[in-house]
Amino acid sequence: MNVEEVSATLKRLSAEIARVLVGQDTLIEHTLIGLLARGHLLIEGVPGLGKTLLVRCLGRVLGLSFRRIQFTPDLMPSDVTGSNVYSEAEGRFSFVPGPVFAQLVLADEINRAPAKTQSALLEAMQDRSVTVDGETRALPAPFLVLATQNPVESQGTYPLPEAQLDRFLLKLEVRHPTRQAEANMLKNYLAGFDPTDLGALTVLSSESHVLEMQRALGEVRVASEILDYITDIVQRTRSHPALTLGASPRASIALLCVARARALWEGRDFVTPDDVKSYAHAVLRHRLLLQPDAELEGTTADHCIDGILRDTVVPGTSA
Amino acid sequence: MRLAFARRSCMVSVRRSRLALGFAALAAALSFAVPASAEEGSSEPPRAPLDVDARERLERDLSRLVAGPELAFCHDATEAMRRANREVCRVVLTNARQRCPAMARACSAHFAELESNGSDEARFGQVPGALGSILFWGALVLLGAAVLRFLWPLLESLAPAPDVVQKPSAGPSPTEPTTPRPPQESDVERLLAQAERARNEGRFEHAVAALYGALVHFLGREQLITVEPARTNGDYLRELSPQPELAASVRQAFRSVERVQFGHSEATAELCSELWSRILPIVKGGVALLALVLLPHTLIGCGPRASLNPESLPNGHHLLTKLLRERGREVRHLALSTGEVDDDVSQLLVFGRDTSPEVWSTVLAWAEEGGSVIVTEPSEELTRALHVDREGSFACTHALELAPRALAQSLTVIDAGARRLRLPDAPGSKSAPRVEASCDGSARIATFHYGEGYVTVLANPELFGNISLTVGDNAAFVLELFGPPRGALGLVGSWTGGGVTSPLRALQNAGLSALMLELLVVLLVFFWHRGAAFGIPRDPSDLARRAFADHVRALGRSYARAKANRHALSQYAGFALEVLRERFGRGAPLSLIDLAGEVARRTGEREGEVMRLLTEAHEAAQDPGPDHGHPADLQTIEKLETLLYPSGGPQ
Repeated sequence: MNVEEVSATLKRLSAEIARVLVGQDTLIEHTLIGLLARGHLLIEGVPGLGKTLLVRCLGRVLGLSFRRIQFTPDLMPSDVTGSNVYSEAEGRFSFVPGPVFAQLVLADEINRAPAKTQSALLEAMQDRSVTVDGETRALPAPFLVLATQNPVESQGTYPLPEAQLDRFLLKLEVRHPTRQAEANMLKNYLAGFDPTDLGALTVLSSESHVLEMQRALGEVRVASEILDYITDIVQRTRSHPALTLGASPRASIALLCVARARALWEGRDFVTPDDVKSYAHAVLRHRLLLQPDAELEGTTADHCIDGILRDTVVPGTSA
Repeated sequence: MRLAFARRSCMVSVRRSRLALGFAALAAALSFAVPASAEEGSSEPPRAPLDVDARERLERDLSRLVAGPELAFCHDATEAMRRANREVCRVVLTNARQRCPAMARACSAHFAELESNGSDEARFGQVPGALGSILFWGALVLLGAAVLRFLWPLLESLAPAPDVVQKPSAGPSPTEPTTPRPPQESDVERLLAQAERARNEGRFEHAVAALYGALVHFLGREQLITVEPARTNGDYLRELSPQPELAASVRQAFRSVERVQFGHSEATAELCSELWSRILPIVKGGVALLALVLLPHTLIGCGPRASLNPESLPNGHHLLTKLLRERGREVRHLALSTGEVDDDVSQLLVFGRDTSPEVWSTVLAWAEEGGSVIVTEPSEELTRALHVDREGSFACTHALELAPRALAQSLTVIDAGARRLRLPDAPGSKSAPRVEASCDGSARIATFHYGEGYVTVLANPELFGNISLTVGDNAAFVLELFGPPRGALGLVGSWTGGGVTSPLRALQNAGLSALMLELLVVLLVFFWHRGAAFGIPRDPSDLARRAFADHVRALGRSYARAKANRHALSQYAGFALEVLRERFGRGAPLSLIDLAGEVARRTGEREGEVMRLLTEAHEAAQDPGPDHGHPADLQTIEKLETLLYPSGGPQ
């Protein structure tokens, strides 16, 4: 597939999902870009914003398998990865795959499970395989995990450690829809929309199609000035006075991949500084650790990233 | 003896003759010492009647001067139409000889309309044309829109900010020093020139970069975008979103540039040409718009007919000053700000009623000392000094009756004004002024003997105007009135800066007050826009110290992040037990059981609960164990706190 075809396909996918998930166009775009960049997404938002619906719609229009894991404090690692179960009839152990063996996995409220269970999923995300009882089993391709967190509740939660957060390509903050979008949503509901029945959505892609789109990423050119730009931004996070911990080299790679994916989305075969700048927040915000004093002042990671972007010269600028 | 008598007689004779000679010399000297404006034994200043040659020369001069560009209303029909009014036409349409054919035709064609119009200031046919009006008002509207566009950001900044939660600042900038960038060219015209030069030399990549720079800086100059080194093309396009057509054009240009900068495309001549054709209309379009706004102004300003020199208007004095100068008279504008008249000035011509009292006192004092003053119309000061005023509406329908004079030919003098002088004394009396010209027995021009000098007062100033001097023998009469050329003639009036003592009054008289105020406002707006400090710039004061509670909270957050609940409990439990022992021990060490009893008694809690709590605290203080971030540890801390406060601890 060439660049224009990929871009057109992505736009069609986005439009199809937007028929059901009203008022979350940015979330849809970010999700598709994350899929294209072969990364996993961490979505933070209060309940009721359509996170589960998004993944279900995505699975439907992409023609991919979808599983949902509701993380609870008593969830065990084997509940995620699967385990060997003895079959009395057959007289032997057989592996029962866990819900992680799907192409789209929704890990709902990942911060409710204890660290051991979180690690099981995160390991699967990193390696794209699961090892149970010494036997490694590959996860299907493409493989995308969308983990969600509720920013409101803090009692009885197990926040993801910073080292584990780094494994997510993007952290998206989902906000409430606009007034108009919410009104349209209500009209859809009145018209008979059933969120559990997505039969009206058209399947526009397939597993091989998605893999082909991911391979098209390799055709996107990245100029050396863009590499310098990415490096400058990430380097500045390590010397920022409001940050205890800056972004790792994994963040640089993530920013590069996402910028290429965004260029594809725009129908270009080259990356521009705008591709990097527009996704800097989503890529970096969960990889930065604030100083306690800065946190007290109300400074957030996004503020620090704003300041870094303001201070970093864009390549090719004439200003 | 006879010889002695003869000698004595001779000496007396000599003395007498010497005395006679002396008296004669003294008389001659005195006669020369009297100001030249006084004729011995005469109550009028010297006049200069024109002989035949002088009249012929005057005629030639008038013909030449009225044909010049300064008096366009005489020969240009359109200009004449614009300038004609009742007063002017009343002069022109007399039977006296006309020297302004265009004005005569204009007045003849529309006199009836003028007469029916009650206003003396009636004008007709003065608009150059409908197209000129449209252009003029259209240009004014565009200019107003441009000013508003310029001021809009300032007005927006004055509007109160919406009630939103203020986001905290982004914190301090990274401390890592950055390499300073070389200065970038930002002049649009220079960038375009660079682009053209590079294109001609085959350096297409430079040409593309220069064109891109020209486009960005043009948009920045027009305040459509904010140009900064850290802003991308996407940021600029988002700023242009309120203008979708422009944004679409700019987006195409940006895409072409990005293909060269970051993509696979090479900078070629074709790409350069394509960019040139995209960018030039955007950049030059602004210049074209400016030219369109300014063009009507230049069109309106072109041509002699648009001259706004008041001296060239029908009631101006261009012709008078020109005639006097060509006859060897120096004519000078005087402000009389020092209260003195220049020594070489022999005559003053004072205009109008708006001359300041200070100037009047200077003029009258000078006249009293022997000066000659001609006043175009009476004023309050003149009325007080000479008891002369003007009155009524007495238009003269025929030539004025002139005082007898030694002229070979009589003069036909037409006075366009409608007022007459009211003289203080009856004519013929010793102190009465000499009436120079009258109409039906009413004085129009009179000369007063004032001290050692003379003051000639006119009832109507129109006699000295350009149009008046082109009619009949008005020019000859006026030249005779001014007398022979001797010394400079000083023109005094509010428009010469007539002796005002304050700069503000001078500005006001010159009609510059509004302009100065406007310039001041523009200057203030300019510096306000540029952000100039109107006072000593001060940095906002930094918060040098934090409250202790902030440090405690920061420490608490660190503990919480590290899940060091057990460690915190260990520290706090040791502190709490120590405080409780001090409070209840009365100097003697208490065991846990005794301490629990005392605390329970003081606080009213159940002793068993207190004992359990103190035991747990004691264990944590002694051996905290591994930290798991258990919430129960925090609850223990809270409970210990409740024991401390009711027992008299710090709040």
